Amino acid sequence: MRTAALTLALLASGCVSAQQTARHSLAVAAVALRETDEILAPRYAEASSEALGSSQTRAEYDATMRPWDAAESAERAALLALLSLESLVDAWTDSGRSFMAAAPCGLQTLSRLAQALAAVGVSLGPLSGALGALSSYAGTCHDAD
Amino acid sequence: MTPTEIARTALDVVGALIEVIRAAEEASRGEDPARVREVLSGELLTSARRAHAELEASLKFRER
Repeated sequence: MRTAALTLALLASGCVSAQQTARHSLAVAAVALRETDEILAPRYAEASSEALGSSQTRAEYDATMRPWDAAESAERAALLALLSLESLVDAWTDSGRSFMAAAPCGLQTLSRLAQALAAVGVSLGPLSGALGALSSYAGTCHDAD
Repeated sequence: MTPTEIARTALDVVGALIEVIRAAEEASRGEDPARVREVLSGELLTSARRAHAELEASLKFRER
């Protein structure tokens, strides 16, 4: 809430254009996702190594790795969402309507990644920065999912 | 929430605020922010680890 208020205050003061704010928010989110990836990757490798050693069947291995695979999938979804949002910022029109409409979906994707990380006991760490940077774009995601 | 969880959440919020303030400061100085496609170029490390792990699992369980 305070982050959103700060961002809105900056916009209202005219210090930063809406488009530039969007670019900076995405940059913060991208760096946070990269840092999250650097934390998750070794933990994933450790988990898969343990699962490979302890599983007697492929099904057992898959079941053990399911939450980790979910985290990896969520991370890929977040990457695609950020790339998509950047494309919309690049194609910014007067109102930035396309970006503003899609931004809540990007935030939702990052929130899902946060949930997936929590499920495997990986600290949110840098991802909380990404959620904060995009929190001013909270709203309803109209993606059909 | 436990006191530890509350403290962690507070730290997360402070961290998020610092990131936003830093971004706003850069914006006010007119610096171009990093591009998402540059920051996240190439395959995610975790995706690479997953692909490798699934290959290992395929090899192990095909032998049985």
